[in-house]
Amino acid sequence: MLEGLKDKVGEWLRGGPDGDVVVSSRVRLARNIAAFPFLSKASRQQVARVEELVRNAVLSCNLCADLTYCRLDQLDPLLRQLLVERHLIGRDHATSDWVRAVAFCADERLCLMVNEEDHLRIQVLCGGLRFEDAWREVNEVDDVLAQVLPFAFSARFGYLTACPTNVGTGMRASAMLHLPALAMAREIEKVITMAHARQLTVRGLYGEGTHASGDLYQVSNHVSLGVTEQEVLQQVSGAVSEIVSLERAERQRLCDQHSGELKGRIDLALDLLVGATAVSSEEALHLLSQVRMGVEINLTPQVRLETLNKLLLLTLPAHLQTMEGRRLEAVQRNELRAVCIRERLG
Amino acid sequence: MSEEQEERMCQECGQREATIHLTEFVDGQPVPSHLCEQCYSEKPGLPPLSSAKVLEQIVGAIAPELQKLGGKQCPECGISYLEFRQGLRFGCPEDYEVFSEPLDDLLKRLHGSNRHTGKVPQGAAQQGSTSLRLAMLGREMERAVSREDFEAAARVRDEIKKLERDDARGAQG
Repeated sequence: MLEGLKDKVGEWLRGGPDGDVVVSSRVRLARNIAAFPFLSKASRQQVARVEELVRNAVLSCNLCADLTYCRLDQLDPLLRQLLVERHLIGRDHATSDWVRAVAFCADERLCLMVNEEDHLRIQVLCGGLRFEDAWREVNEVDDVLAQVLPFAFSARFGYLTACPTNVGTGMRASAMLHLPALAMAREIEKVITMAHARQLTVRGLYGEGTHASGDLYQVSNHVSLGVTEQEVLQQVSGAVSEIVSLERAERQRLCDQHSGELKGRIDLALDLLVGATAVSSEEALHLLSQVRMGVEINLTPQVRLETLNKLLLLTLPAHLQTMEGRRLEAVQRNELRAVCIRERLG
Repeated sequence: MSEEQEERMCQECGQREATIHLTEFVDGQPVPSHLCEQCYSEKPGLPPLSSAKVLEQIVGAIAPELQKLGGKQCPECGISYLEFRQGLRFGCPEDYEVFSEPLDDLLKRLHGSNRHTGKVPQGAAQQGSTSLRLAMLGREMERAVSREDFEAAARVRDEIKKLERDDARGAQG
């Protein structure tokens, strides 16, 4: 049943406003059930009871058509990894060992995590820059669930969370951005400094520190208390819009001053991808990023953004192995990755 | 969290096992540090460790907030403030009130604020949670009275009054 995910495309992958730079927007709310301890001090029975309470609430509330509810502690590790790759659960949620679950709608916009770091996390993921849409949906789900689940809340501190970094609104708003031009111009540090000044975090989606494989970055708020939900959205949205302008300006400059070199580099990336018999995940991320920029600046009209988004997921390890129906060694994955890319780009 | 701590080496010398684990904040991000006793004692400005009073010394050195609290524990989940500061995870929702004094400082450092200004849960299930909290506070007040800590009892009584006021205000919409 979950294996079927590999054949589908989450709605967010289809792109959206400012999709030439913003891959996706996400809003997440953290909630805990009143009168239960947080996960670090809950007994196994209490953890199981929380899962049961939340499951009953989620399944009875008719949140969307075609909801999949899945117990992670009973799931094959490879399928758990698949869910991580699709941004439906975090790495920790995949690997912890207590009773926990995830529920998501068919289009993968709405996702609920049960017993991750908090009892419940509600998340909506949209393509492009669409914080208002994501907020509207996640807020509605929060209100519906509040009819049946008592949330741990104090007038003074707001929604009470296991970690004080999430207390208050319990809200994390983040955007995934593709910034190849700024990375090339070594301007990412400037972006990070600008974000820090607005109490926002910038980190590479794949890779360590400021080197982001595939030039993909995540911008998010880290302040959740003493701000309203709208203020958080405005802060993140505003900063993202500015970064989008910076990236577009830099792309324009590259096109104006180095168009030959740029086209050469992008064409080479496409040729390498189509002609390779084996591609590592690092190489794939790097080359796909080049081609993606080509599409974003209209130099590579023969490739669609949606195809590249699909490839972003399909070339990841768990997706590849799920496609084959078995575990693969790195060498085999690299070969399968090349086949997968060639089929879609060739 | 304990699995990560068990086999960690000191990040200063890399040779001895780290037995002192702290979590500080830099730019809103939690930054863990793990030190062995020797490197800890070599750090300037910190009081020396003695085997008899190790915990007290560490608590005193980490931050003024910990010095105030000593080994205070949450009566509901049993977590101590030191345990919280090591793992940066609370044990239960009550901890926010139990440790509210040092928490004010920590929250100001994390968020630039210590008061919630955002959404308030509305829904049939939410009334229940207030009465659950009132029940817990009532028990806490009884415990304070029975150990003749009338100052603490008075503080909890004020909390109860405030909660009842907020609840009534919320109900008025």
